[in-house]
Amino acid sequence: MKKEKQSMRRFIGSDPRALTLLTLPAVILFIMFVVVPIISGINISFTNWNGYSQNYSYVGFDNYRKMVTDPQVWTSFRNTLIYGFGSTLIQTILGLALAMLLSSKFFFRSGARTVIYLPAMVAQLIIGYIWYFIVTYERGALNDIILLFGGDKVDWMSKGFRAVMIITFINSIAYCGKTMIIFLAGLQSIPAMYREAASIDGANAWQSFRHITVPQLLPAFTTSLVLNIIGGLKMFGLVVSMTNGGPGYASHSLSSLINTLYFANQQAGYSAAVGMFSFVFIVFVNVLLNKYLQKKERQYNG
Amino acid sequence: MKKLFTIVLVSFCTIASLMAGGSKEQAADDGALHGSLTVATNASSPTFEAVEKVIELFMEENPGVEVEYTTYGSDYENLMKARMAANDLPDVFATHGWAVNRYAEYLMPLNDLELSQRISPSVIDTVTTDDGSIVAMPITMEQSGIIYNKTILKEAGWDHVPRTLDEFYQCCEDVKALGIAPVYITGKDTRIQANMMDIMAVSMLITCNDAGDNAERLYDGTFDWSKWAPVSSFITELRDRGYTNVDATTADPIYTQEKLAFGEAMFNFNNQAMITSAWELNPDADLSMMPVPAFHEDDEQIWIGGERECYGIWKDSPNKELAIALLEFMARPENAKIVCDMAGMPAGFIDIDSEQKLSEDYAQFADLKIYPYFDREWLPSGMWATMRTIGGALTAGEMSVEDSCRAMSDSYLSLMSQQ
Repeated sequence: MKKEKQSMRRFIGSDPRALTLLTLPAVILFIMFVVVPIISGINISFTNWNGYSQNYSYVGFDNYRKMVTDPQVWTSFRNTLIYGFGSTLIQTILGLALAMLLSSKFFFRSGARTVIYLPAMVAQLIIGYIWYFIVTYERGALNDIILLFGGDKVDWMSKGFRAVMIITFINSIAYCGKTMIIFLAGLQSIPAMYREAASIDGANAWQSFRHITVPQLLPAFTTSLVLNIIGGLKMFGLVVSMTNGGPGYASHSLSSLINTLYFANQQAGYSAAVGMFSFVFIVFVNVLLNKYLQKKERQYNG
Repeated sequence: MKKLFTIVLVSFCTIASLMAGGSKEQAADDGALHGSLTVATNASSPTFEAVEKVIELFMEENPGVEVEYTTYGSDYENLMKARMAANDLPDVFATHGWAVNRYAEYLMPLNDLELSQRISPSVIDTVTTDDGSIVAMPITMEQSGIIYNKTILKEAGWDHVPRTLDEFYQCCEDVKALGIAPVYITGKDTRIQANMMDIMAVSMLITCNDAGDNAERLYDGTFDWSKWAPVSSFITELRDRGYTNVDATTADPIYTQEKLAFGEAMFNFNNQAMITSAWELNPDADLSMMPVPAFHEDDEQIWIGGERECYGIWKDSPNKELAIALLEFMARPENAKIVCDMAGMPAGFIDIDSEQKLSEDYAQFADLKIYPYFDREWLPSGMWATMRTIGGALTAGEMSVEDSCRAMSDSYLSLMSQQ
């Protein structure tokens, strides 16, 4: 046994490349659960498969051609942009403000941090269903409050654009806790001496925030922006639980549309094509974003 | 001591296993059945309990058989699709109206079984494929039109159910005046609107007196889709005249049961199972089923139907013999009657004498013909999706009637070309 251990150590020590062997489990999992599904998704997107039959035929680029003229896809794409960038904007502002607030010392600070972070630990679907019962027309909590003040009940999710806005808002406040934690970690890594030096030089609070805190927080911005944008672009649970894409198809995100096309509409081939579009788009946005933010970080860090 | 203990244990085990083996062989000689079987359904209570009871009786009669009976509930369709894609299905499973169009390629033909001779003529077509294979066994069948509340009908001043579409609209107007939602639509799941069009389309395009050659043209791909306009207009008319609930585009289907049970909605497009589940909340709810109104004054009213709680056998099942035995057991008149009585549904066999709460109401319309759902008979597979999309968009006012005809036409032509 001891001998075996030694020989293993010698084997790894003999060639640094042998260390890459240790990544094997991760690589296998990645291939199984990411690479293979993507390749089979590309394959399915060229077929008319209904999602369950053993038979299907190849239809060339038909699915992709159909996508260009399908109003469902474009509405979902527009909504996805709103979900992605809209909630990132709100989440970043809220998260940063909360982080600034909660990095100062006051009574109940750690309790407040927990409460704000709590929703981020709940599954999106559950958050969605809870909110559904708040904004729903029949016995919805919001309408009950309106009735209490003598107003008329409102069917909140019945207008497409309003539904999209409500979902964006709910997503933002549910997950701003995550952003806050990232910024809090970032804030704590800024040495106090910078701010001290600035205050000695006569900088006011805004100036020290603008020229010290923000640049020093850039790595945190990179992380949170990338995570939030991906999260928003992948928006699924909230849409399914709150509107199921409705009214009509007005609040679908690309993800929920893909789900509906695949399972409800039995258009697995077409669904896969929309999935490919969504995949390429998210990769594109993230490569651009990463490039830009890395450039910014380099600028500030010289 | 330890050794002795081991010897005793080993010999005990040997004897026990010998005894077990011995009894097994003996039973096999008797021709009794052995093994286990998985049965899956989407049924909810009370149908689920009814079938479960029959399966327990089956296990009592065949003590060597273990049947695992489960319901996947509302996840059923998605789970079954995944299992079909993997070609790994339960031995026996429910086909919920899709025996031919979806499950046929995975089902074993039942033509050679005696039970196939007893399937009711009004439902047999819906479980028979084009090449004549009977692929599933309907224990209960569906005879649907529109669910309505008898008490509200009387309060609105009506002594009969609306016979024509115009009467239907008039009745909605009278019900609306009472402050009750005439037609209850749960648009969070657009299946309800698709179902409404699926039912009305038969009356408006197939059985009306000016239908002409619509049916043939739908089969051969030359149908003029501008004729679909009345079907889409049915949805927009209800919306524009205010005959639906206010939250028609956002209400969740979970509310339907309660709305019907407590008389907060008049009409609803669903099958009898919804009435039965409303009765679970309020046994006194005065609900019944009326036939689909006639499109023109001189047309006939019709029923829409097909199989309901209906089971087929997976064609690659390793336990076919057991599965056949179970189906034959379920098909026995006394067992099928249990399911019909408990579920409150008409029987799918000809020789079952089952009385239900609604039997009397159905008897009034015994002369009316039963037709299949529009999409299952006259449209290529896959159009249900389009009907859901346009149904949702029409209720929400995102699509005009003309656009919906165009969407139906596009989808129809592309699906026909794939066939």
